[in-house]
Amino acid sequence: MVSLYPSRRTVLAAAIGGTALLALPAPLRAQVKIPTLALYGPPAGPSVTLAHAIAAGLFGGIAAATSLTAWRNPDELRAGLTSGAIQLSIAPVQAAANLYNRGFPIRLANVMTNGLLYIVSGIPGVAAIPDLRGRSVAVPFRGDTPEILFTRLLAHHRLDPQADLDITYAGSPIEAMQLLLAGRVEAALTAEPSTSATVIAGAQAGKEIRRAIDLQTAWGEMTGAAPVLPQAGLAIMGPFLDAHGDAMPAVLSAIDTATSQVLADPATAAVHATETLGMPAPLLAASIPHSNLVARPANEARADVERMLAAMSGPEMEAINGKLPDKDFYL
Amino acid sequence: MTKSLGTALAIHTLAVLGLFVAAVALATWNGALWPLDLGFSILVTLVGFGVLVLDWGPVWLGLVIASASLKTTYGRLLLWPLATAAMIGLHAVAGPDRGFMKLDRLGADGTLYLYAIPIALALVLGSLLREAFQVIRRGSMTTTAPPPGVMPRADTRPWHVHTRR
Repeated sequence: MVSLYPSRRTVLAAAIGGTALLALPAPLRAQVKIPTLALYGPPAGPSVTLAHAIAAGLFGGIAAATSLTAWRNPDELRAGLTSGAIQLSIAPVQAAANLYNRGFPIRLANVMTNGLLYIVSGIPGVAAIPDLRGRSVAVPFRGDTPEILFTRLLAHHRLDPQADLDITYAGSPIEAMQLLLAGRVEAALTAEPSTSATVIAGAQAGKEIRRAIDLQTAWGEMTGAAPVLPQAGLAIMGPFLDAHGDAMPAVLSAIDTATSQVLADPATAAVHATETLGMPAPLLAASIPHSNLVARPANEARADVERMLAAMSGPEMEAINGKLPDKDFYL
Repeated sequence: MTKSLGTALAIHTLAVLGLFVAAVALATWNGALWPLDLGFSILVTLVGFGVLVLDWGPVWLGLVIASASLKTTYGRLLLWPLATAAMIGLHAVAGPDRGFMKLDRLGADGTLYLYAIPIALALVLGSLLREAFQVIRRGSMTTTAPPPGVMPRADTRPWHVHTRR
């Protein structure tokens, strides 16, 4: 006959097991998997990390299913975030801060790149921002973070973009690359992976196109701080945090692991990301070493983020709704 | 024996394809375009050709004309190394001013790789133009109009495709 009451031995075993379970770190205690971890990101370096994490199964213990969708421009991201269609996405830090300051329930979980902006040029004399005086420069991303940062750097070196440089605004990074390769401009502002594309195409044509100015380094010299431009990080919307906030340490830990693996083996990571991002694997592989990929918790990166936001937003900080985001912005 | 335009076109297309495959392979190898993505390798190769054509435009036109004016394939084969050497000389003199790498930076193999295949392609194009021109000229010389009021006989070939014996 089977007893309906547990034996003393069963109760003791359950108690020991329960105590051991409670002693486990929080990420390992996550009881229920997230049904679908829908991630979004730009077609650039930081998204390679997420694509690799998915392909390597690093989110396997956290979510039953995972997906990564590349958004094509910041407007698409903003629309997705504000409509609630996007709950987790790599986002420009400035855009996330702006939304936060406007009352959207968005938080920054980490920083995924320390900056991927360069001035490419074939002119031997161009090695620093002041060397751009009198030069023709192609500038894509008009009004977006790269142009704002570039303008701040020019102002710091007392260069007027209208008077001291011959600026040609390009519709896209590809157009900027074409202008440079065709010899119609002497330098171009680019972001990875467009920078790598320009260098590769130049080399194929026998041209000496190089990363003449590392804007991260120039930024560090300007601010007197680390050469870091925390341009993008993982932004999370409030509803996701409410539902699955306890899974976030595990998600961030998986991204941390993925970042190390991507930097150690860019070729494999590029193969993992090529289809999702719609970009050629050799180009992604070439761009990874220059994309300054990191996985810094937002709290740790806060000083760098605030330094960047303060400098790029101007005295009135109108680009981020008039103030720096408070501590609750940083997860 | 004369070749038809179709045969000439097929031979020249094969030559162009062979050269292009070699160019893509070299671009992939020299550019370390790994992991292999054939579409990207082809794109990079075409961009490289495009930049060379844009920068040395009249030179390429001259090469095509020179090739078209030569009567034999042997002549074009002789022209190939000569033109490549001339192009390298031009590069040495005017290339760096146009944003090209200096020869010592390119290296001997890099310089050869940069110009040998594009020049061969220009010579093949010139040869194809010559063939096409000859076929067209042959066609116009053998075309005769029927006398006014005379209709072609039903059991003969059409009157406008007489072939010279």
